[in-house]
Amino acid sequence: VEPKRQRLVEIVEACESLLVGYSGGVDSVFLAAVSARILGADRVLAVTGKSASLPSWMEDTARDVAERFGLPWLEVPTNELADGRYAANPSDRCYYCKAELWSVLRTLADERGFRTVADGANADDVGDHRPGGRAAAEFGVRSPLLEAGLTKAEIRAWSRELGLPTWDQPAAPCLASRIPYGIGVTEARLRQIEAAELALRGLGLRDFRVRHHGSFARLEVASSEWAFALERRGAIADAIRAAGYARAGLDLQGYRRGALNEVLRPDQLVQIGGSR
Amino acid sequence: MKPHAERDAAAARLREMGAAVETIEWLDPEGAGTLATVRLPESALAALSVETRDRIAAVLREHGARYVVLELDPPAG
Repeated sequence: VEPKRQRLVEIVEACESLLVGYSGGVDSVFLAAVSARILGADRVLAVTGKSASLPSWMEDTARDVAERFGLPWLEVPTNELADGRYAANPSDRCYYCKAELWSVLRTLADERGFRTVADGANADDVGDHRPGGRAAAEFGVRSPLLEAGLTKAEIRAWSRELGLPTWDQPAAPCLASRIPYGIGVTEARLRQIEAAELALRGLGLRDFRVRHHGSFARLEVASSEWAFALERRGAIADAIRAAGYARAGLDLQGYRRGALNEVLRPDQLVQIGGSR
Repeated sequence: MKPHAERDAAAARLREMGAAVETIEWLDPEGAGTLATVRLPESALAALSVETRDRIAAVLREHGARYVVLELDPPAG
């Protein structure tokens, strides 16, 4: 791990000043915090794109960590929902969202004199369906964690050493990732998903997804929380119904990352760097 | 085979395998393709292993279900 850490220091130093796309997730929080240590807080700006697809608890985490660790932080509005190509929810939906985000952040970086814009992509993201990576490449966004070869486990370990509260936070992609491709992304659907997930978090679930199938909510729960979910299934069903779903079911296969990508054909998959 | 025939065939196979399944419904919610929802007796729920979950899901998927879920609501009435 040590050569990778050294490599990250070198990469961040070479960036000179860094505007980090900062969602409140494990990776971007780590990148912003470690960059502030390397470059000094005055040469780092953590920026959260605030839109309907950002869960409120992620926004809270982003704000809390920035305040606690003295990270210069800004929240700027982004409006991917206004782009019909995004709202139609094609398999490359993330491209349109990230194009909006990086366009706003690139402009901000230029205005404020930040030389480099960076995201929190890491070495484990290579090989996943990541159409947003194409937008990052188009806007010249760097991925220091990926470039240093750091894996998620290594980022979690280093985050823990730094005292970051996100070190064991479950992965948390945007709320639109709960809607099957081809079903339109609307503010009402995003709010409904968020309400259901907030309620389930309140019951004590941590690593799960509410997959939106119209009036049916398909709940994916991590294996480690399966027994708890079974025990609380009545309360879970009530909470999901209170969010406006008529019916809910607990997926027997449990939570798996990118479950809605399972239906995609190989020619629809886009990996980091934009290659198909 | 038509959907209800697939469902019945899957139920028969699960019974042969000794899986304690009370009911299976074949649904078609938005963006899910065929979604099978199964109800298990309380006694089976408590002892539901990962292997049993996988076995039930595999059989139902072989019969055309894209997703297989456990019914969360208690039985009506």
